[in-house]
Amino acid sequence: MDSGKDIREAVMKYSDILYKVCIVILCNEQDAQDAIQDTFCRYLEKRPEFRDGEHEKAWLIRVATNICRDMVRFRVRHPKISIDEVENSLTAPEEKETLRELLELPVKQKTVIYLHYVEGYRIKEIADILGTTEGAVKMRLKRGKEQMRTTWKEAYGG
Amino acid sequence: MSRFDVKKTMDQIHISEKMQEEIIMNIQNRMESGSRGRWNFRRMATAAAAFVLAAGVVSFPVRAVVSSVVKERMESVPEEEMKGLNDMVQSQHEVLADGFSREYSDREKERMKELRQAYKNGTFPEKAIAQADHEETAPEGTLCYIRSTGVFNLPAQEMTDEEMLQIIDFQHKMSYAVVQGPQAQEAGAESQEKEARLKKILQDADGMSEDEAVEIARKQLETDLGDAADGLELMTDHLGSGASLLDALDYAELELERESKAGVLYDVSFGNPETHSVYSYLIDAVDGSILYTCH
Repeated sequence: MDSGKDIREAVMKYSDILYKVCIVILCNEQDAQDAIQDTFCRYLEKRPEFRDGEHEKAWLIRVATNICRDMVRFRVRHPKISIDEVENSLTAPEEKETLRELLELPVKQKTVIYLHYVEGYRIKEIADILGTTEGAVKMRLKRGKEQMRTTWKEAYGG
Repeated sequence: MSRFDVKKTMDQIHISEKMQEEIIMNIQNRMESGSRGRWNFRRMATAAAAFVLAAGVVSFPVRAVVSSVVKERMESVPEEEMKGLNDMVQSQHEVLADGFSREYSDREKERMKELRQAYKNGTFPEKAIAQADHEETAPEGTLCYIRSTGVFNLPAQEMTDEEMLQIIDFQHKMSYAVVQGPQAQEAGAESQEKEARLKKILQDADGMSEDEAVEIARKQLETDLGDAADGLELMTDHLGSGASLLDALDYAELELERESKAGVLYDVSFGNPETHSVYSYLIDAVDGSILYTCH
């Protein structure tokens, strides 16, 4: 795929999900945009063959999470939290709080929580996407949930 | 704080049209200028994701290696060559599927289909595909496989039948090498062992079949969603590894009100590939009760 039409089609189809993945990991809109762009560039450079849409989606998520992970590792530019625009799309205060709780989690934990609870991937599928073991995914899920509960209790005493 | 809060919250967040347009424009500019992006070099130097290789990861399905003539051909490949191919695939940390330096032409796509069929019937290339460790050392303008990136460098002109057969042959060899490799053998043995163990537990407990569990989940889905359930398909596996729905999970982590009676359950999900929506049910494999719902 090398035409402008194909690029547009791919971006329109997958940018929303990649945006969410990247925002969750990077907590920054500008960095998320860079990561999405890099993901699609790699998609165009590699021209992978996919069995179906789910395989394609899983490939893009994996590439995007790898890119985000390295950006976090070498983060030297934008400040971590600049998500006002993202927050503005949420109306209820508790949803803003939920978003902040999620974003405050360690990268590994929030990535797994997002893929499981939002995208609906099963544990073994997340392990495949992230290139790790099912045990590691389960542990990150468990710790992430515990961490979110702790944050909630500290903030509201409940 | 619950899983529903997270999903409900994230479902309200969307990329803006402005950002989508900027992304499209930037990608076009980048591709035209040949720039690979600021982060690319650093990423290439630091990427270290563990590559969990399953048969489904290689773009060419392993199940295709069933023809007796192809099997015979694969078995005749020297062990060292197979080991080398498996080692190569295992080292390609970020390669999830084969890449190509350009898109196939329509004629090539059509011919490739025909040649894949012919290959199964014993039409093989005369020579093996050329390989190079890195892009920089690859010969220009000829078909070559880049081992470090998993990319097939295609000639500018349309490929000949021989070249296309070389690609097909190489893909078969890679798949076969991976399936025969120690990592896949080990993973396969573990998976089979686990499945056999779960099936034994299920049998001893007089549990239900996978079809029965799917039926229970489907009825619940229809109750939950009404007419909206019509467009949803059973998702046997996102990644196509053909895994069983039967599973054993860490119940404590899922915060279930009670555990499955025999410790085994069916993980049944329905989804819409267009909207990416997924509805999952964990069904007790013995009494058929729904232990966990994730919408």
